[in-house]
Amino acid sequence: MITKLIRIFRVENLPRWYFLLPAVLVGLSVLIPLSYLIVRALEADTDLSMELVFRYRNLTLLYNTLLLAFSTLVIGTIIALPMAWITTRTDIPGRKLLTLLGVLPLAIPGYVMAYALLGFSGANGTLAMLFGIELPRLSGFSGALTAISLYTFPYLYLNFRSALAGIDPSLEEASLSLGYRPREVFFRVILPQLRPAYYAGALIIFLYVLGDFGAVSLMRFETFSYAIYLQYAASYDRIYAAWLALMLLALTSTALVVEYKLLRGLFFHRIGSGSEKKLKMVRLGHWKWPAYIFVTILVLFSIVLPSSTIIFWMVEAFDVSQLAGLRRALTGSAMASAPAALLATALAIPLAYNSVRHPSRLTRGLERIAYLGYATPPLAFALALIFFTLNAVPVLYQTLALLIVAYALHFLAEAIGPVRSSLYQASPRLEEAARSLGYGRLKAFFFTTFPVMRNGLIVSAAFVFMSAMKELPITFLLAPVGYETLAVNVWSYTAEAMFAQAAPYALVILLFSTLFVGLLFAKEWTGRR
Amino acid sequence: MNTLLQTSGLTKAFDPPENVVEDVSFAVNRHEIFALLGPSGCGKTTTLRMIAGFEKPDRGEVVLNDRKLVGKKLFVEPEDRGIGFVFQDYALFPHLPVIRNVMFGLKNVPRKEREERALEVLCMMGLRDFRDRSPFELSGGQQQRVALARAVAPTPELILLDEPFSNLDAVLRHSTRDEVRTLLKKAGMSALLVTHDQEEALSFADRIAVMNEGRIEQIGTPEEVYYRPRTRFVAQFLGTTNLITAEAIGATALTEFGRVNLDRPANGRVTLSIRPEHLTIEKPDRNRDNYLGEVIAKAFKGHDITYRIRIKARECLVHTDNRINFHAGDRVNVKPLETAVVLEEPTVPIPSAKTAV
Repeated sequence: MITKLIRIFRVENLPRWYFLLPAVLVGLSVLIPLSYLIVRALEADTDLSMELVFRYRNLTLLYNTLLLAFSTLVIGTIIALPMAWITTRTDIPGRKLLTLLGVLPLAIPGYVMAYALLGFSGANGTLAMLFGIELPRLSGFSGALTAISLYTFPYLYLNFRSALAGIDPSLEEASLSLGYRPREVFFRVILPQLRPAYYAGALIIFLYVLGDFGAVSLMRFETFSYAIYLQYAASYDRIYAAWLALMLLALTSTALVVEYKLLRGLFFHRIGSGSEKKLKMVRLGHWKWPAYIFVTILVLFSIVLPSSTIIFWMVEAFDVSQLAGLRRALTGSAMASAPAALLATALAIPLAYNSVRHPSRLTRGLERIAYLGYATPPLAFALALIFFTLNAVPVLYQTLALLIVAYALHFLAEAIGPVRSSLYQASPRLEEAARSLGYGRLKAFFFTTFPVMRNGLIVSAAFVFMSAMKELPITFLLAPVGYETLAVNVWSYTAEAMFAQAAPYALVILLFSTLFVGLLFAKEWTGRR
Repeated sequence: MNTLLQTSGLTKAFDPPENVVEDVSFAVNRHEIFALLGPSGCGKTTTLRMIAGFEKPDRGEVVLNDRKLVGKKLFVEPEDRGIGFVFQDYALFPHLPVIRNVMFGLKNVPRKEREERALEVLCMMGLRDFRDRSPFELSGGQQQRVALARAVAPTPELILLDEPFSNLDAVLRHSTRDEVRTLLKKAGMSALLVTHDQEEALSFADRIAVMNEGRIEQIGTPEEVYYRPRTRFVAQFLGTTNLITAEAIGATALTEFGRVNLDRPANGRVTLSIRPEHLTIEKPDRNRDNYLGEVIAKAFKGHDITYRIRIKARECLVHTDNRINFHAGDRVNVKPLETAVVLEEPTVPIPSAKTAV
């Protein structure tokens, strides 16, 4: 044990303090506020605590949350698996376009999707106004499920796609030569190999559902996140809100642990080094028509419906007077998102640097701290920050600075990936060369590695910027009073069924998230070449 | 002699207690090209990186020009050592054109003179026309010379080269090697080179240290280490050799092919090394020779021939020129042309790295 510790902390393996310090700071700034949730929750005396924890309502919330999470997973799988198979393993014409269509729904955040579903159906929805067809307004469980599934299935799709494309074709050929039929090969050889990708994608969806606030609140489906909001904003019951946030955190940790256990030992590599073969494509023939119909229906619901609803309401009731409000919200979003993007990227550099250049258990652990803020459900995190600032640093309460820090900590995980891969491109020899030419450690880094990483840094900042632009729950709780952002405006107008007023904000968000997906897609595409 | 660099007792373990480098001591003289030669994983690159300051030794000292760089509680950062380094993969800065790469190290030269000085070095390397190219647009050989130019430009007293020619193809390697050697000699610089290529070490360096499993086995001129290897490893690593166990009595020993002269007197059981080109074969003289061998295989290589000969249940290799012509199955007499080298036997078994503390 002691020798193990000594090994982990061998002085030589330790990064320099100025690279270590930011990592520690990030960890502390996530963990300390979270501890204030406990402080606040324990303000209740024992009897009250027991009463709050064992309320029947908690069970209902747990049931609702889990029901929504697993249902989303099922729907997502039903959509994503065939979609991934069609676009990787068949000869269907237009595969590149189909792939794009499978990713594009990521551009329509859950609450915008909820907005579209609400603005589309019902007595004064698009459908009723245009064609006189009155669909019952989606709400509650079915509404939340539809909105979230249509937004999140691309996460599963992307994972399935890269897993399917990465399977060693020799395995299939080997199974066929051992006398298995193609259908049996699919179920007994291919599907089992998709497990790691599935678990990873499922975790993202699970965490998203646990954290989602926009869609469930607009659809009025009570999950933990929505209940936290209700307790905090409507009932001003901070203690029960803290307890609910803690329960949500426990649920999140359980999901992470289960994923870890499931993934353990599940790494499928190509064994043996034989030359890489091209995947054999299934000839679809006439079966391509059902495939096209499947994709068309999907696209109708996931892309056409929301964008046309937004555009309908824009055209229907656009008023120049709205421009001022739009500009205010856009500035508000950008003023918080841009500094957050810079901060997150700046923090990602030392975290990634430590684990890439000084790989050890310690630095890998520190890097994982970046994911802490990401996995923490945003409402719980925002609530924790509120309690923390109120108790410890009241100057920060209700400031833009706090919002920026919260964004940065929450989206740090998105910044790490590109920073890390650009670091791998910069050989450590570059810094050594600079040092042998007389430059100190920091200067060597800034003159050699930093310029080489530039593109990765830009991508990181762009990811964080665009994610923050459409962020809702954190903004909702932490933005200073009267501070307008795009996301908050979409939500508030939709919550009051003012679809026309919400439309311009939704449209701008759509534009930004389309850019985000474009970037993701471009990265995917170049990465695969 | 005029010593420039002295290392003593350098020891390093990445994964204790297994030492990657163990008690390495050697000296590089002024104006000398010195090579660390050994198989991959023998610790030669780690030694080089400790001298540059990229790795911290666990024990030992490095002294450059009477200035201690590494010692007890002393560690001079690489940027303060004034030692040039040429990397195996060149490590040219991809975001800077050639001239700026060379100017990078000239930070102590007044700003105005930097470009002029960099250009001077580039001209010396024959790279004048490439000054504004990006490193991507250069061939391997050109990149190699830019890397050298960058290291040489600040005129360090010592320049370290880590397998500098291994990324070049065979033809380019020979010509670049000759050019670099000439340049270093012309500039009066001292160089320490790391290589696994024995031919490169023999032809490029003034002196060679042969390393194996973290230790130096022998230091000497190319001729010394080749003709008078001290250990079995050195004998085998530098070209092919015949290792023979024999009974030594004073200045000679009795071997399968008769009595051979030894390079130093010895007694009892010894291991001898004799290079294949120091043996020859001839038609046996029925009256005189008792040491008959049989040709098992013959490999014709143009200007010379390698024979495999079996004598009394052992085999040996013989290089001859192409005028000596025998065929498989011929009976021949093996005759030594030079003295055999008595190898040092490890008197105490070398503690294996795993048990060493």
